[in-house]
Amino acid sequence: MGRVVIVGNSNARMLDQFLRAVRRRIWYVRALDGAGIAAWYAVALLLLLGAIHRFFFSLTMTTVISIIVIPILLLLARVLLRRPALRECAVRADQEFRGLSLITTAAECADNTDPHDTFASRTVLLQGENAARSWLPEVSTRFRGASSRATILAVIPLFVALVLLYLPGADNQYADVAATAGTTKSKVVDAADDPIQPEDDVATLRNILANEARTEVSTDSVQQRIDSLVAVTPKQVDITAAMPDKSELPEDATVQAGVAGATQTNGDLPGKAIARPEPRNDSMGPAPDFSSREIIALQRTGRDFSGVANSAANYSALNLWENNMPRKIQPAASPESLSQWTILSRSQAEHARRYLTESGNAND
Amino acid sequence: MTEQNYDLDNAMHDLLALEEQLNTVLVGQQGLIRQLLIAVFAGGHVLLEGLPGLGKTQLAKAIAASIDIDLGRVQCTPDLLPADITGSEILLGGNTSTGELQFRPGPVFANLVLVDEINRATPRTQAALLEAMQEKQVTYGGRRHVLPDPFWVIATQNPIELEGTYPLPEAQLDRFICKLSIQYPAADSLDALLNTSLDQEPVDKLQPVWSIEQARKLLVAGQEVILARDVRAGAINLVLSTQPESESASLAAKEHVRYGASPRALLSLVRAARVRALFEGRAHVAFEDLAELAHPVLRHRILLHTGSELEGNTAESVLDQVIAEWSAAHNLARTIQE
Repeated sequence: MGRVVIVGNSNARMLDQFLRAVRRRIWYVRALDGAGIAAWYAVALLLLLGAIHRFFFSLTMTTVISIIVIPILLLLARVLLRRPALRECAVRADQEFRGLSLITTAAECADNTDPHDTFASRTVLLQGENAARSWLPEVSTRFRGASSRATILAVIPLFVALVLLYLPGADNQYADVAATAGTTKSKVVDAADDPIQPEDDVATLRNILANEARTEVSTDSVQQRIDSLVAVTPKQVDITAAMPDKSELPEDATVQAGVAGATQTNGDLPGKAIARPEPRNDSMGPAPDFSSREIIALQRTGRDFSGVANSAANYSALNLWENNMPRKIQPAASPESLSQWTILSRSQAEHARRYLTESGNAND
Repeated sequence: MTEQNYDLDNAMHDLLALEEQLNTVLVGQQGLIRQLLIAVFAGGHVLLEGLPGLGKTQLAKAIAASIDIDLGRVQCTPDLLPADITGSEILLGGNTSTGELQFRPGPVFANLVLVDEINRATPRTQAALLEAMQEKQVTYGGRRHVLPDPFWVIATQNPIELEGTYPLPEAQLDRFICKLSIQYPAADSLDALLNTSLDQEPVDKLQPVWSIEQARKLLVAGQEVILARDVRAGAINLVLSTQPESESASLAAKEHVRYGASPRALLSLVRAARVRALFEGRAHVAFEDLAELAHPVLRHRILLHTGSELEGNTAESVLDQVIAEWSAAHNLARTIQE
C-alpha cells in the first residue's frame, strides 16, 4: 500500500496519521520482542558456552563475545529493517481496536484512485477517519508484545551462565600433579594458564647474566639491584618461612621456592593446593653452562649460590629473573615447572661451587 | 437524498424495523429471525429445520405480510406432483374449448414460497424446485415462465420423522443459502407467546412495513457494501478450509470432511455477510460477519466421512473446529468469544 490519498470529500489525513502511528508502534513492539528473543538466545548460548568452557575446553572472552554478539546483531537487524506495511498495520489495528475491518476497508478506499467512488466508499472513509481520530491517542498503549516478565526471567540463567564462564576452564581445571600419595590428579584451583618452561627459565637467566656482563655493568650495581628487589618485595619475608627445611626433604629432593611459595604464604589464593614434587635427580635438569664472567657476576652478589635450602639466594636469583622477564610471571606456575627451576638452580649452584673451588685452587 | 444514499442510510433502519415486527410474531427467536432476514435479503432461499409447532409457517407468513408480497404455500406429501408446484396447462373453454392450452401457474409463482416439509416430497417433485430456485423460472411444455421478482423459497423439514421421507440431495441442499434450525423457546418467551398468540394469530394483525419496491432496493443495497481485499481473502480461505483436499484445509476438515463447501458457498457467504453488515449499520464487510454466518451458510454444504459420523461428529461440531482454526489465524477468537 502506498501513501494514503484523499478521496472525494473525505479527508484521509487522520487515517494516514493513525496508520503511521500504528506502524511505528508495531515496529517498536517487534523490536522489543526481538530484543527479548535475542536476550533469551544469548542466555541460552551463554549457558552452552559456559558448559563447554567449564567441562570441555577453555574459551577466551573474545570467542564467547563474538559467538554471541554476531547472531544477536543479525537478529535485531532483521527485526529493525523489516518495516510493516501500512496494509498489515490496518489489519492489526482492526484486530487491536475491534474495528470490524473498518480501518482495513477505509485504508483500501483511501488508496483507491478510482474517481467513480461510491457513496459506500465515502461513508467507509469517513467512518474510518472518525475511528482513527478517536483511536490515535491509544496507539501508544496498545499492540503489546510478549510479556517483559519472560525477558526478566532470563536473568536467572544468565547468572548461571556467567558463573560457568567465570570459573576456570576445563584445560586448567586439572593439573597432573604428582602428589606425594601417588599419581592421582589433584585439583589446583588457580593453576597458571601458561606454565613456565624450564628451558625458558634457563635461557632467560642466562640472557640476563650475559647482558649484564656484556654491558660491563659493575657487579656492584647488580648487587644493588638485587638487594633493592629483595628489599621491596614483601614476599621475601615469607619465603623463608614457606620453605621446607632441608632436613625434611629427601636427599635429592628439591624445594619449592619462589613466587608459588610466597603465594601460599600470603594466602592470596585460598584453597590453593601445592603438591610436593617428586624427588628429582640433578641429572634430570639440563646441564648449566655459564661462562666464567656469569658465574663471577653471580658470585659477586655475595649470595651463597650453593645452598639450595638457602631461599634468600634462590629467591634473589629468581627475583632477578622474574623482574627481567618480558611477560608477567604467573603466581602459580605448575609445580612441575617450579621444581624444574629449582633443580636448575641447584645445578647451577653446584656448578658454580665447583667452578669457584677450581678457580680458587687455581688462584691459589 | 439520492437513491444510492437511501440504500446505505436507511437500509439498517428498514431492516431493523422489519426485524422488530417479526419478533412480535415469533417470540424468543431473535437470532433465527436475524439470520432469516439476512438470508432473504442476500437473495437466497432458506431451509428451516425444526420440530412441528415452533412457528416456521407463522414466520414465513409474517415476512410476507410485513413486506406486502405474495405468499405461495406448498404442503409436501409423497404423492405431490411437480405440476402441483410449478403449475400446469389446462384446456381453455370447457365444452366449447377450441383446444387451446393455457398455463396455470402453480404456487411457486409467488414472491415468497413456503414449502412445508420438503423432505416428504418425492425426489422428482423436489427436483421441480431446482430450476425455480436457481434460475428463477419454470419451463413447462417447452415454454419458459419467469418467476416474480423478488423470489424466495423458505422450505421446512422435520428432523425426526424419517419414515416416508426423502432426504434432499446435496445438489438441492446447495441451492439454499442458509440452513437454519429453530430451537424451543425459553420459558419467558413462552409466557410472552401466551400473551400475544392465545386468542388470535399475531400474523393477522400485521401491517406491511415495507413496499415491495423497498425490498427490491434493499436487495440492491447489499451489493454496495464494500468487501476489502483482506476480508475477501479471508472468505476464500474459510471456504477452502472446509475442503479436505485444499492446501488451506483445516485439520478438522482433513480428518472428518469428505466433501467441503462449494464455490457457491463462497458466494452465499459473502452475500450474506454484506447484508449482515447492513444490519450492523456498516458499509463494509468484516471478518466477524464471515465468522458469524459460517455456521448457517456452511453447515448443510459439508459432508462428513461415514466413520466420522459414527464417532458422533456432526457437521456442526466439525464446523466449530474449522471456524476456530480460521478465527485463530485471523486473530478473531477473542472478539468472537467476547
